[in-house]
Amino acid sequence: MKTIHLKIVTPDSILLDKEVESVSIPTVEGEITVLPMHIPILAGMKPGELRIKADKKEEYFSVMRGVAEVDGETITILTDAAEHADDIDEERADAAAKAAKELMAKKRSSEEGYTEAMAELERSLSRIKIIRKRRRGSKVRIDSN
Amino acid sequence: MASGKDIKRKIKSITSTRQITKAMELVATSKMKKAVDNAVKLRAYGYMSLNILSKLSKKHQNLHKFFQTREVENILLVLFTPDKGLCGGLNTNLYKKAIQTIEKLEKENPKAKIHYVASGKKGADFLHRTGKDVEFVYPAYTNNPTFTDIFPVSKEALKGFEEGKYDKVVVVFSDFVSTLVQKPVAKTLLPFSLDVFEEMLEELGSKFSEVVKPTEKEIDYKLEPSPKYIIDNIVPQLTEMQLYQAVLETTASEHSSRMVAMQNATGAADDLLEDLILTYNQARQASITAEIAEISAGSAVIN
Repeated sequence: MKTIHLKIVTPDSILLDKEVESVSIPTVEGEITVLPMHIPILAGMKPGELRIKADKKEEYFSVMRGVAEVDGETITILTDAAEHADDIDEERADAAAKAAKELMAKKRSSEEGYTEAMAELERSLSRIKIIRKRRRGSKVRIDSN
Repeated sequence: MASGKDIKRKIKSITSTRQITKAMELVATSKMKKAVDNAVKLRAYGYMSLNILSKLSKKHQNLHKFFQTREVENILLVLFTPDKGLCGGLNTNLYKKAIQTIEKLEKENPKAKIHYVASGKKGADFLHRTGKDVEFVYPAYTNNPTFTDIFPVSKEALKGFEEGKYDKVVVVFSDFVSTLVQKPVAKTLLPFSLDVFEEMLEELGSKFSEVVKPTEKEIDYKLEPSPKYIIDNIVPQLTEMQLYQAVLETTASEHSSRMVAMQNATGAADDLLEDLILTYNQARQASITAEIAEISAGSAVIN
């Protein structure tokens, strides 16, 4: 099967650098799936779930705002932060969402603080969503066995 | 020969200086680890965003003001330095680079006015000393700066360029090569062009090509969700990233350069102490010998 090279890069590290069969990216306008030989595209990303398919397996990542660049040969994802779905700590994400909500209530008067808190809430909610979805997914698999 | 008392005083003063340089060395070492870590980690991200900008500017030159070269009337020079000295030749090298860059800019654009912004007290002092008008002084962001910390600087540069206040933005900072080598670098931030990109590649050398392989191809991107979104969000963000990278590199350079300088100072103090202690002991022994000689001479007289 044809593959395309994918790089997920955050300010902290190169999280992923490998050949994949397809990538589904949460762009600002909705999810797009990139397959090998895709036309060049530069898209803004919003916080959400990034799915990759490689070696017949699916992997999930939580990604934040950023940019996805496809130049025909490689896909480069530059994002503020990304995590493998298995590495997300639900308790921590929950706590972060709660803290962000409180901060939003507190910062109602300052525009900058409010936007920042809202972005933080959006980020933690997207992580929670991914981990819940993943867990449901694995349960279904157990049931069907 | 100096008396024992004088030498002892000298030993004491050098010992306390050594204590200070040793402490500074330890502090710099621990700060350096973090700073270098930050800078190196960001490199992949920074270089890749630079790469995307370069690819984007090839085909979509008219997309964004940042990509367009225009008549240069006003130049903004941002000088990144530490707030403090005592870090070897780092500051001096940055000054030299700044002077070179200013001369080059003046030669290339004889009619243009250069505006100066300094991040870091040392750089501000230097520009004042050389009679330049410094318009803004920001602190050096030395303690694990975050992306938002540099907003004041990036806002001035990016907004200023967009509004036509500046037609060219140049940054001078120290590129961290290794603990022992820090290279002062001048980089044109805006407008972003391919020449600039190639210039940058030369300055950065192999560090860059390890991460990114530049392509020659012209790529016609489809811009999602709209060109406007890319203009408003992505391009400024990628450009800010370049500034942030400059800050982190300078910070890493500062701490590693200070660590090395302090290590040398401590070593020099050790050498001095060794010499002085030897001299002190010699002086002490000489005085004891003299005393014994006097006593025995005295007793010989009595007997």
